[in-house]
Amino acid sequence: MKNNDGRHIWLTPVLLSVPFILGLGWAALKYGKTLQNLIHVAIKLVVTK
Amino acid sequence: MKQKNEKRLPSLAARIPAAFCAFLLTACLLAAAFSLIGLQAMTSVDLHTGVALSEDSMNLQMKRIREGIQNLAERYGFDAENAAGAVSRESVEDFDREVVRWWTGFAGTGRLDSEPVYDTAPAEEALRKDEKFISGLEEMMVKSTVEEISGGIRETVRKSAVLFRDLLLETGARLAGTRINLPQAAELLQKIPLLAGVGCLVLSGCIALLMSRRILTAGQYLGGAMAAAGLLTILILLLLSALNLRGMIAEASQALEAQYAGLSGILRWEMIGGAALMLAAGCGLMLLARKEYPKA
Repeated sequence: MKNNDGRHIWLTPVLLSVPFILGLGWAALKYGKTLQNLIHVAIKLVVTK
Repeated sequence: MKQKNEKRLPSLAARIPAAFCAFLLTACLLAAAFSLIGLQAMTSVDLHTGVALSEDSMNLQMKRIREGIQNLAERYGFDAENAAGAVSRESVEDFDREVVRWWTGFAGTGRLDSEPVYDTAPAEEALRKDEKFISGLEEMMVKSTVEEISGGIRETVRKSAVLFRDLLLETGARLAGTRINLPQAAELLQKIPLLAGVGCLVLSGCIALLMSRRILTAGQYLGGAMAAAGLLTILILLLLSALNLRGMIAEASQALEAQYAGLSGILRWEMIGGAALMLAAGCGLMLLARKEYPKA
């Protein structure tokens, strides 16, 4: 399904998502494990048994 | 001739800034959606009361209280059944409501009131009526022992309702209060979804202006941004679920895990519903925008 300037209609949302997906993917790969460890420590520190 | 002009596609000079505005609009929509859910998760009394008073959470809480009273009974030699009977489910539910109001009040207003205290008067009365236990005590020790046990019961109920270290909250609030104005910060926090919403409106207006009289074409950008925000919300939810928060919480506290399961269940479906709505509305707008120009 194409829009009026000849591009595929789903291209706009996909193109708009690409920078976010790249940014999120990069952040998840670089800081994902650190973030997970930090949350783990914070939960152990704050939560009572 | 004029009509033909109006039906021409917008120029590249209009489409590039419109695409940039659509990119910012996607970010604003995501900020609005996540700040709204975050705020709800932090300040909604109804949501947290519903979760704390759910059947699973209450059963677990009452079990913990009974176990705590049993431990006290083994230590002091009173009738555990009799004392546990005085700690009714209704009174624990009322206490849970007060606890939720206490900490959500802090998250919402930045003011930390004094922590609610569970009323142990019925338990004290039950202990005084426990003849076997009372007769085994020296007369002058009755009052202090009953008060000691009632303090233990109060602490047991408090620990079953306040599932985090309250001292950390109090110290953190006191320390933070010396550096920033907490009520003002809380007020600002409440305004974030509104500010993001205003940002969305401004950016939508900019896109409409850039598209000038081709108002339906603006729908292509607005729809694209909405659909992208819907897709990204689902992606972020998938990333968050990969963090395995529930497993980490379950490791720390079974009671909190039961509450987290209820809370995340509600919030997850709200987010998925919102994402689906944004996706559907975005796709609808994009399809509508196609109709502005006749097929080539």
